[in-house]
Amino acid sequence: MKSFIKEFNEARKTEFNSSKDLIKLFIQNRNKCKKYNCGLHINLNTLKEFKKCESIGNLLSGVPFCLKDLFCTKGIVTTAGTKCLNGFIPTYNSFVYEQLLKNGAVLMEKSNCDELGTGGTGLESAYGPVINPFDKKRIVGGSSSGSVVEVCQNVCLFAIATDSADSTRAPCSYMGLVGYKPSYGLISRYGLIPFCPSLDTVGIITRTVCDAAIVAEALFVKDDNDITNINKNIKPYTDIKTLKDIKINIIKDIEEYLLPEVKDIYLSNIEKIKTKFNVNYVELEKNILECIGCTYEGIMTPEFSSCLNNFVGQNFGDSNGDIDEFRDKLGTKPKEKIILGKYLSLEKNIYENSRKMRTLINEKFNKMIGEGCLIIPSHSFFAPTLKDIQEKNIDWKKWLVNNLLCLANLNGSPSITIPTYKNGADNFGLNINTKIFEDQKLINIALTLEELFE
Amino acid sequence: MPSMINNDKDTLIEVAKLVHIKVNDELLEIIKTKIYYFNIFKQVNLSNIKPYEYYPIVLKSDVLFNDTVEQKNNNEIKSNKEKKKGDFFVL
Repeated sequence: MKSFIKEFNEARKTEFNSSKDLIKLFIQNRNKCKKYNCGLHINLNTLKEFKKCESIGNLLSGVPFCLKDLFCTKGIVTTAGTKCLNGFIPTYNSFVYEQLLKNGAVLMEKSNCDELGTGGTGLESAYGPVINPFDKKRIVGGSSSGSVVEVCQNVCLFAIATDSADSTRAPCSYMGLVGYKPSYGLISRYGLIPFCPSLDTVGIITRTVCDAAIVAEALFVKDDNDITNINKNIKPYTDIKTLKDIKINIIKDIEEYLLPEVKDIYLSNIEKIKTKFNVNYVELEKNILECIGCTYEGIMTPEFSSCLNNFVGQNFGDSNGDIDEFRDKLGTKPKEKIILGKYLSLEKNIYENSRKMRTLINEKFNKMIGEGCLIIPSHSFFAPTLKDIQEKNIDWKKWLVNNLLCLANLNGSPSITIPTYKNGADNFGLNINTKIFEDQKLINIALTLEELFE
Repeated sequence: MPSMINNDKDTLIEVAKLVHIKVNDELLEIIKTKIYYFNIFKQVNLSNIKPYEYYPIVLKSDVLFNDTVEQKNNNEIKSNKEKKKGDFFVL
């Protein structure tokens, strides 16, 4: 099975006279990538930390990684892509960062992202948009925009991001990478600047499924600082294997929602799967499909609005805790979500109905997954152009399939996107879903399909 | 079903004041449109559906770990109190 992390470890032993030469290549890539605006805060001690970590002696020791700027890092500026947190230096490490340091991984830089995790385009960071390295007229997707560009351009071997609707898996799909959202609760979110606590999940960005399993195994550790964290004793890398028999469910007629550019790719992907496995078609009612987006907004905005109150009355970097000054610095997206969230928390009917819809959608989703897995197209189109986004040129019905990625967040279940078609800026993939805590099954299915499409 | 009675400009300006955000007409229009979209729930019968409960997974894990939600909450409050200034991002 393909693993760049394992290849990195081999290269250190055999191809390079000094391991330092190898890490210098990643540092060179980091410098080259400044033009894409993917990094916000560079770790100036990379070489020093690399030398220190080499002796730890596990798969992640010395492996370069990037961290979305929503994770607190002691002594390193953490802004979450907002001017409101400009200059904020946390006094403690997030669980994820601490765990990776224990494993010997080396931080290259903190990644740019849409402001406070709001926005799905990569255009919404207060520190400027992230540029698509394949085509600057196209978007990268978001909110984990900087993280995907860093993995794509070999600034690091993996990146840690977040996934509250599709923020890891969607940009990975646009850029031809593997994006893994584990089950809700498997990775502690201690020290993560919250966006929507009932949906927030740590996301893993890699080039291969095996690499995602290696990173996940290092992070599936019980942490009492996060009340939702749970240890299910899942060892994604230790127990990784390809499967001979998979029960695959596919949504009937979903291709009707895809733009022609990806429709043929999706259908040929399914035909290829059919050559090896039995495929079962399941129904998703149109009215449910159309409600997914509003259900997400109805849950997310009140939670986001509530979370943002955390910043009031405390000093964070340049901010003195004054609420008016703080909120004036916010961009349009967070402002929109705060007002909508506050409105919905006052207009109880809509919020209540969103929670009811979440129950109903989860029931339908689990039924569609069944005893096996549910496979859906990762997107209805290739990464759109900035113009298409700004002028809203894409028919809203074509966005409905993209909303399907959000089902795993509403349900708390694991989900992974793997690339099946790569051609410069034109990338497409399949998104695989299993039931909650069936992460091992998900990884094994993803590995099996990755090898099928290799 | 959601009521649209209060979805007018003045109500939204009042809500914006509550959250200390200055709004312009363009932002108000975006929010008004988003609120209007929630009418889509009318196409589904939700009368016998229970609202989704936050933290259902914790309840399950508590059974597994032989711990109670109250204990977990108390522990979290205690540990939060012990944290230094700036530790505001604890979930």
